[in-house]
Amino acid sequence: MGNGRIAKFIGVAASLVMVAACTGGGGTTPAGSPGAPSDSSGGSGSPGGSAAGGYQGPLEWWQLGYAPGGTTATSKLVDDAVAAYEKKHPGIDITVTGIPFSDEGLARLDTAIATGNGPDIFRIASDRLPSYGAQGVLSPIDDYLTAEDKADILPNLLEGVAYNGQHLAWPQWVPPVGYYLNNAVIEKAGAKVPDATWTVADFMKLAQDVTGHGTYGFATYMGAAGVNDLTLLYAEGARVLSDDNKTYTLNSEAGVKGLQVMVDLFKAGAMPPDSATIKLADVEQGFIDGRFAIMPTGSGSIANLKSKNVKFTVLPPPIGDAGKPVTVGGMGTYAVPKKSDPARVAAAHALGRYLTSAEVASDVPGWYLAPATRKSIKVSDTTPEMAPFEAMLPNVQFMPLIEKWSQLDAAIHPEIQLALAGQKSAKQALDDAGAKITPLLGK
Amino acid sequence: MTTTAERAPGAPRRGVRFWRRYGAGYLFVLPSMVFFVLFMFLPLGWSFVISFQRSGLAQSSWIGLDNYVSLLNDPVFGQAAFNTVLYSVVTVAVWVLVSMVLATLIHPLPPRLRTFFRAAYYLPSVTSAVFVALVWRWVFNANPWGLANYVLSLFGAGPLGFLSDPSPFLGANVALWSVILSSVLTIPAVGVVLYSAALSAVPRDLYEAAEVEGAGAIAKFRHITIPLLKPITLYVAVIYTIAAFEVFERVYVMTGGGPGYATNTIVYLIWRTGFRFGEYGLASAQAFLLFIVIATISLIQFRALRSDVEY
Amino acid sequence: MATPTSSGVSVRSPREVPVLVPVEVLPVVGGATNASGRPLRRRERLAILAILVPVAIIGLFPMYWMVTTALTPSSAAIRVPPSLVPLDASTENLAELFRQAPILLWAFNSLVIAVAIMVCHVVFDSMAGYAFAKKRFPGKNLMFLLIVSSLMVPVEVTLVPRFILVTRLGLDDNLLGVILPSIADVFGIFLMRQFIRTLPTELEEAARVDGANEWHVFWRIIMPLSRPAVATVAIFSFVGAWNAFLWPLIVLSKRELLTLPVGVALLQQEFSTNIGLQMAGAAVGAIPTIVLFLFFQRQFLEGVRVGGVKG
Repeated sequence: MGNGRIAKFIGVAASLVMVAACTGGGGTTPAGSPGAPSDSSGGSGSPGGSAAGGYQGPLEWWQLGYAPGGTTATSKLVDDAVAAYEKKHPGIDITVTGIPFSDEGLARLDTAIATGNGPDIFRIASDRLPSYGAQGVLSPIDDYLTAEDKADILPNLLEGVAYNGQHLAWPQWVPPVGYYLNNAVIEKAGAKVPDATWTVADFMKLAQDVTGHGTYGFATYMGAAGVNDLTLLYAEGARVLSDDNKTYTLNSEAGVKGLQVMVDLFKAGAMPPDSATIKLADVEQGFIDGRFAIMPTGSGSIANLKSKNVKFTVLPPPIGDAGKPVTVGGMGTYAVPKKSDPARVAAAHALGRYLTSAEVASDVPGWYLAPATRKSIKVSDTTPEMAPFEAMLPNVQFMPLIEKWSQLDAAIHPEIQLALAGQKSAKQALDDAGAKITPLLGK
Repeated sequence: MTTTAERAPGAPRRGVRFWRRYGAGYLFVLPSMVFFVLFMFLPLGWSFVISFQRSGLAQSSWIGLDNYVSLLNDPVFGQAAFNTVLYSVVTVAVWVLVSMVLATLIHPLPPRLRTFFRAAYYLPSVTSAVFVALVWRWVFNANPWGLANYVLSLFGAGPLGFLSDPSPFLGANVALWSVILSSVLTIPAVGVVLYSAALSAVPRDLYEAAEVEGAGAIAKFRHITIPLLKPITLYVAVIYTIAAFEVFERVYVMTGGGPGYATNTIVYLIWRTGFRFGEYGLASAQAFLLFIVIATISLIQFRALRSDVEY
Repeated sequence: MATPTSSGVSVRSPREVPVLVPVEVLPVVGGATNASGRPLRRRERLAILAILVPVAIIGLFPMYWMVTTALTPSSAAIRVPPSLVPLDASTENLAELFRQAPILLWAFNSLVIAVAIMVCHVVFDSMAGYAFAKKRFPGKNLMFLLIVSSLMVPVEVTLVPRFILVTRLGLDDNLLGVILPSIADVFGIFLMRQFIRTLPTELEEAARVDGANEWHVFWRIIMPLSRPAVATVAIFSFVGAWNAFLWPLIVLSKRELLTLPVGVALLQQEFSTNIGLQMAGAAVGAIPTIVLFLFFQRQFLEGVRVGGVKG
């Protein structure tokens, strides 16, 4: 049996592993270790809207889709924003970590926050706020909202971060879903590009007129976590839930009518055959390639389309029985988790306000990739293509802000896909979705 | 081990005797077991415990068997279970048969050709499943320019929806059968290699005797090869069954469980319940139900093929 | 039982002797022979190849498609009819890939992780396999059963608790956080156990009588004899660790720490509409494992054969 031999051997193996860690691990900078809440550097910054006057020290910022030195718009803008903020507040040292834009990445974010190892501030879409709210892990912005803030932020958008009477995050921007029309494709088919007063009937006719020769009139993503396909239902006046979030209402006559529009278009061959499973990126690529004439998606696609020299027009969704243009969207926000050091939390909130304000727009040109939530910011000044999206802001409907939203979402889209594929009627599909959703409500 | 009433003076006590006798064994398994306990059994235990809770990450409440009961009543889970079983049955049957046949065909070839084919068959499995699934997704594209549809057009057949078509077909639906097809067109390399090895140990005189009696190739295969390969077939069937039941990347990349619920599988549901919905308790319940199914089937396979196998 | 055959060589059943004999060395006269030792007729050989070659083509097709798409500039990817041969092959995708991402750095990270895991697997799995094969100690069978049954629980289930554990240990966003949880390995232990069981006990006994301690017996006698199986474990571990996707994705977020498959997948998010670039990434990620396999093919196929055959 082992004399020192075994011990020696284990030592060798262990050191091999250690070497591996040392060459690669290096994670001993503050960015590597989870933000330590016990860091009580700095003075007694009282919570209450004042700038991070008292706090000096590190701040950890997690950003979805960010890569240090990366070449995407997100990465570059974030780097610029950090530089600008640190210049204005010397003594604050911001480290940004990227989170992959996937479910696993989001699960990692959730786990870190739930176990108290999260960052000081992070970027998140508003639909995820309710689950954080239910866990009580976020520091609400209410104590840090100045009067100026309250006057500046559009009220219906401020409601987009409301949960149980508190506002959970700094609203940054809302990319409404607009209808992109490929000018070249439409004109080649001999049709005219409509204007913002177009109706659902106009839309259906146009989509069918331009279909042919490898071109489909209308294409949309209808998979998980999407909202683009719901625009046609909302255009008729339907909503997923009632205002008090207690009743499922998507299977109203309006909802059925809206879904029927898509079903009819698919049956008429005006939508691509793989509509049920097509991915968002493929819709965009098809639009760029000229295979799709009309696609509903958020304002984020503008940059890509411009870089590929696609001539396009953006319109609000066609007007249905609702009588006026209605669109849907999500909201990008910056949220601040609760931590034990009030000065640090206040500093994080100050950063959050900065990143969602007009100040950052002047420091970092092009920071706003979507219409901002503040009246003081006109994104279309720097990006003219944003104008139609800005015009849509007052008409944006958010998805219900409830904890189980992802489960509702997962109940709705498969039914839409099945209706499109002709497996069940539009009414049946929406009813079946309701059968799954109703038990989830009112819990 | 006995306890003697008297001990010879100076003789080691029971504890030390135990250690001397069994210590080496424990020490040798120790490093592995430490990691197993820490990173496998502990998390598994946590999962098992929360399967009886309604749990997000931060809050949980005990609800006993509610998760399990709701699953058994859930048509989505039911369909996923059906899809998984159908997928596994077809895939495993094909893989076992194909690998056996391929190995038998390779066996009599000259050594160079033998190695060549085994390597050619094994190569694809060295790459990551995600990438392979991406390629298949591309091939089964529903548009006319998808490769599979192009091949169909050569025979005058129209473009098929393949992965986007939930129409009923052969007891399931088109999309699911397309996924199964992509699986079936994947060569069961591990099986080929294992059967090749087993074949080399089959005595020749049996085949000689059969030939003397005028048996052809098929007859030899049926009456000699297959029965003698039973032990390996058990091993191959079990590992392929476990892998098939846990199918995930293929579905995730190719269809995302859609269209509708057409290609949901159990592990896809588990992933979605845990990572999308954040319902880790329910996801754990799903996982342990799957575990029970897999364990049962493995047990059945063992019993069925057990007779002349010693493991 | 040793059975004399007409060709004068006894073929022992696998149980008695470690099957170290490479299949290629089995007595064959002049190349190909069928199961009973008769030389293959030309007709038979052609028939066999007529089946094996198309199968190989089908099996290798996804990889071929991946490579050709990688070499196709993004402007030309969608064409009707799809072209099987890249007429306008260009390396622009590859160039773009290397420009956009620190590919070599990622490869280095993957290498470090794969080597560390491989070494740990080889050593710890052999130790444990030896103990399960040759030693007796209370609880041995239970331990083994637990280890094997952990295979039946899908990895998605333990993902989150493992992540929580790793975070609590301060190992998140650290290569160690990827390595340590991956050290628990069922296949390696199983493989080594199967193989070592076939080694005759007399060797150990002899060594013990000569005064060797347990470690010596293991390291100096058992291990050298187990080379093929060890080679298999090494290669399986390396390839598995290299291709691992889900776990490194969750643990690592700093761009400089990413592994190759994870980095490439994140690239895909940045360039989701560029199938050529995605396939270029996939191809680059697959190259190292393919190269490894081609070089060590013999040991690889050897050891799988050996470790998998019943012992």
